[in-house]
Amino acid sequence: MMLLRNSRPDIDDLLKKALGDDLPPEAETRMAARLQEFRRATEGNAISRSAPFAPELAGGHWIFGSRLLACASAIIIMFGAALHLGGRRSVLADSISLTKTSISVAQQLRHATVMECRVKSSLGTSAPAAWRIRWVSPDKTRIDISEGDGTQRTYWLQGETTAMSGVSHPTATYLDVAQRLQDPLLSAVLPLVSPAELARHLSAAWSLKHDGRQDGRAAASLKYHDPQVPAEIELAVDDGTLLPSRLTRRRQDQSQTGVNAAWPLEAQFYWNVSVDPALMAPAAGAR
Amino acid sequence: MAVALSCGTEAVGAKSHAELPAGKAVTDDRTTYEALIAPIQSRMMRSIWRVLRRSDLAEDALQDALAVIWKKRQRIVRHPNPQALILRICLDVAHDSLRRALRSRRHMDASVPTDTAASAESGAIRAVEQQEITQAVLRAVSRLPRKQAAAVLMRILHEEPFPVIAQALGCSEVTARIHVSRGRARLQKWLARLAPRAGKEAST
Repeated sequence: MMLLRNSRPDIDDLLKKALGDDLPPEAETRMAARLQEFRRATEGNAISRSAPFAPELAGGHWIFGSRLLACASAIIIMFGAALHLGGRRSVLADSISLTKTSISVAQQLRHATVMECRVKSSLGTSAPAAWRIRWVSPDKTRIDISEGDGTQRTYWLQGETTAMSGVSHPTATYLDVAQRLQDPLLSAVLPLVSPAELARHLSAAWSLKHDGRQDGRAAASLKYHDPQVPAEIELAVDDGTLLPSRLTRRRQDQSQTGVNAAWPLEAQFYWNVSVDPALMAPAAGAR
Repeated sequence: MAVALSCGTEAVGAKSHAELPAGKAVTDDRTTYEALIAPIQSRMMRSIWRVLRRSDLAEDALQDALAVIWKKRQRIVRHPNPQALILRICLDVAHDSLRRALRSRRHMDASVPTDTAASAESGAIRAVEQQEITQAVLRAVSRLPRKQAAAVLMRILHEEPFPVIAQALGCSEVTARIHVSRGRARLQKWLARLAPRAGKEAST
């Protein structure tokens, strides 16, 4: 004990000497300035958010916020555990899952390179019509339309350009936008003329309904509402590629008829199939 | 809740903490600064400087300490010795800053270059020696656990009585004495080459 007491002066002196009270005046001035800055920040409004103390002064709120976040996290974890243990899928989980799938499908569509889509339609008493849509990246589309009476015509779309050949135009003729819109059979399949157009409809023009289904690894079925026509659209999605495999469009109001009425359609999609490039250009002699 | 605080004194010990002059009760944030920080602001600056000895580090540490004090102001005003607690906060922040500074320089020269004024006054050799001693002491202090460092610095540098150290650390006086004793013993061991007699005696 005596030895320890005797040792104290040495280590105490060493510390006092090494860590002397020799604050230089310039350092003192700068530190005092910081204190004054802090003092100003706390005066007036107790929590005036003047820099550089604003984040520090807001710390109390952050502590409060962090507690809230911790509570919210705990609730979410418990909720998640309950969902898993409950066994049944909740409406909320299904809804989130369907929205996620819909976004993924739209993204996958934008990455597609070749698409073929075969469409059939029947308007009750009218004769059935059929479409064969072929699209290659980046924006070449060929649409072969067969009406019930055997009339056939072909459209080539590339950007804003539209060419058409048919009975009345044996050689391909370029059309302006107004002429293009005159053909209801072409207008009926405009959402399907390219993957990008379909993706645009999925993400913007149509609204996702949350009564679709997604059963584990099986193909998802997404339902949309087309408010313009109006019509109900059901899209079957391949679970592996997240690309559409089948699209069905039904009129919401069966009594509605006329040009503006939705055509009931059933489309089958084929992805990355081989397409003869010669077919994608308008027939020779287009005017 | 209004809490009485000492005001207008630089001391932290028993002689300083107790009553607040009339009208100085800490009731809102405006008076918190006046009551808590203003009376010991010089002491705060000096306590941080003595551990860090570099103006940029000391400035940042002071700002950190002020932020901690502000966050804990409600707890501080209810503390039996608010100024001792503030001093402890300053020492803790300075200790943390010292550790960070030494860590960040470990791969370079393992030292915190100091802004000591002594070098200008003393001869070159003496200044270098002094610098080496200071660096060794700083490294040793940085190696101490936080509470031990606060206890040792409060006792040796600030000459605070044990009851005040105990209040600042939130422990009993006996525990405070143990912290100081163990901290001292460690420093003696680590700094034996600088204080040979102390090291020898401590090891016997």
